[in-house]
Amino acid sequence: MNRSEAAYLRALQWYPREWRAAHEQVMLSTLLDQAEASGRVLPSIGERLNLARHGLRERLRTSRGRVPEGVRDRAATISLGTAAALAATLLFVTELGLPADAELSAGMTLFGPFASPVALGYFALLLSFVLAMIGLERTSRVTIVGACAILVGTRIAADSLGMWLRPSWTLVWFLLLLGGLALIGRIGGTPRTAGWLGITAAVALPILLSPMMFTGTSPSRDFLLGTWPVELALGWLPFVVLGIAALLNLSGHRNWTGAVLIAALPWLALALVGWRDYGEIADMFSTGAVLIAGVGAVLGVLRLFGLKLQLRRVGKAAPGEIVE
Amino acid sequence: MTIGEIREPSFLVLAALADGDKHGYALIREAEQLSGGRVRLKVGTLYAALDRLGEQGLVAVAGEEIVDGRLRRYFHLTEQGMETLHAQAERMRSTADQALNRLRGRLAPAVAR
Repeated sequence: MNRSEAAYLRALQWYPREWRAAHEQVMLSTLLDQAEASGRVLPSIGERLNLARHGLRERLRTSRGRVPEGVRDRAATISLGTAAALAATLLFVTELGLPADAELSAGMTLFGPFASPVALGYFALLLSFVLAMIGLERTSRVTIVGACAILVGTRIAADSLGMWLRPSWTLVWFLLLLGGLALIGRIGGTPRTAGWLGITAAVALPILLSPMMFTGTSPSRDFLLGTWPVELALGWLPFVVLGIAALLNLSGHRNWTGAVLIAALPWLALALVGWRDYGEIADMFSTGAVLIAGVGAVLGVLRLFGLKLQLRRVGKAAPGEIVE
Repeated sequence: MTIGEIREPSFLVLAALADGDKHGYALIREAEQLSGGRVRLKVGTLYAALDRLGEQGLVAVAGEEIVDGRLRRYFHLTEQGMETLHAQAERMRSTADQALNRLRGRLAPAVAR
């Protein structure tokens, strides 16, 4: 293998393994033919970017196709419902609760009545939930993406402004994961799905708020100081989720079984990574990496349990039309 | 899906296959020629288009051969592909004719001036 071939083969690594097994040698030949005709030896930047774009798109397309539509829709619904419930909880417990604690917030830089500008991200998530409930699904999806950007942007801004009562990166990453899962399927859109969305949020909200009832001191302070970190409070969650999934599976609700397992991924990951020392993973990148590793670990466990994912082709072209 | 959403690479690939089977690099050259040098398909774009067109039954693999140590895969236009290409080309011509007719009335005085 010469230098040119090796360079092009590296550029083709963006494609999934199955794709490369079927097309790699043919694509490599075409790339080398084109390179020779252009008098080049190595891939141009344009070629590298083009292969990266199509390779990633192929990876997304194949992974998306592995989960049936019914499961994706239900998982998205549960994710948005729980994300909205968590956003409401955080808004109440931390963003409004922390400034209300005079002793704790003394001398702290605040964002009006809120602990930090991250509150705007929580509002945006709640807005996306409302939009999905009233059937504006597309606007809701755009709002979710916007909410994720606001969460990251305001969290960075809060640090630079010295707002120390802001949420941890663990929670921000966690909300980003939930937001991402909410985009994998249809959310709201019909009275039935809007109903499920509402029920999910209505069930999740009291569960999330319940630890406050058991704290002897200010709930906001407990939250901040770590006596009530969400991840530790949820240590029991993996067992509950697996139990619920098993019951759903036994009762024949396969779509809901898959949806519960998928939507629970960020929660399970959070429960797993939460056992680590909180202070060591408090920065943006290491927190994200650990959470994603947690999701990977959970996915690995699910595979061990033999979770069967089926291939499903969608979008057939009508005669005379080309589907892009 | 409406005609407005058809992308040029797919149309050029179908048109390049209209006069016979071709391999990947030949398709890139044909597409460039058909577009008057305006479109030079990148390899990733070409194979993504071929994959989609294959899934839709418009294009099929005609065979493979090794030339100078390189694996070449040839593609051909299916019956359905020919019908689709014909229908698309007719639609595009009809749209272009209408646009030119509308322009003619406005361009003529301007040219005369």
